[in-house]
Amino acid sequence: MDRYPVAGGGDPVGAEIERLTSLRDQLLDSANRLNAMRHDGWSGAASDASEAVRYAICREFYRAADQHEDAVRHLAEYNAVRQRVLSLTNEIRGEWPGGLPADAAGHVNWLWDQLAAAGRRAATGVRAAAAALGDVHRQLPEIRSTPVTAVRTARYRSLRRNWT
Amino acid sequence: MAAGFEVDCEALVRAAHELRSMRTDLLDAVAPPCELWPGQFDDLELVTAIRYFDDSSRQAVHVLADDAAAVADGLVGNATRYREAQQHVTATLAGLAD
Repeated sequence: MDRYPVAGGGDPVGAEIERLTSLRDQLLDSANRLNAMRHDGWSGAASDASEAVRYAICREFYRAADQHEDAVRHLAEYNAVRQRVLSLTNEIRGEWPGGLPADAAGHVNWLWDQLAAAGRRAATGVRAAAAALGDVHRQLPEIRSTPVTAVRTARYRSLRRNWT
Repeated sequence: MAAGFEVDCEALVRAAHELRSMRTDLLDAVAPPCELWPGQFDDLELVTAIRYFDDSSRQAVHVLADDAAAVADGLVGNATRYREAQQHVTATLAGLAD
């Protein structure tokens, strides 16, 4: 019985590995760009709020990128195991075209179990990556795009006091 | 340093552009469609996890894109407000000097 690839062409798992890798790269790139942002001379409540959001996004992007890295690793491992298992089981079946003896059938089942275990690890990794990405927004402080309502600085008040 | 006077408004605007560019790049990263469908593999748990990732990552990135847009709007709004304040102070000082 062939339990694996039954439809479709190409390399769908490979395509998923590429998608996850691309998203990981983008998360890392975004985190690095956020990390490099500097707002010289800007201080006060609006600046503090902006910095808190920037720091939180940065931290969560690095964390999500790590989870994507793990997911990619597990998925690549699954793909390698799948190819190996398919190759070995075909080889074993080729040796006994009339039907597998018990020990060979046991070995084939053991191979499928290895693939199933790799699949479970990959699924766990992919779910963790999805959770980490969803958590980014949940970990952010409140974002308000309303600018400061008044700019009154010590220097401005001092100048007015001294000149009037 | 007195807040509001020495703020580099251009740096705030540049940061807003950077955030908007980052937003576009993230949306592009989740744009390719998932090519894996149930039935393609008997490992339903893995296919389900990948399909779930596809849906949830797309949603999460769109929410984050909104966050980035809000932060960018805030930076531009603040830069505008600081510029106005700086112009006001300059004009006030010029008037006092006359």
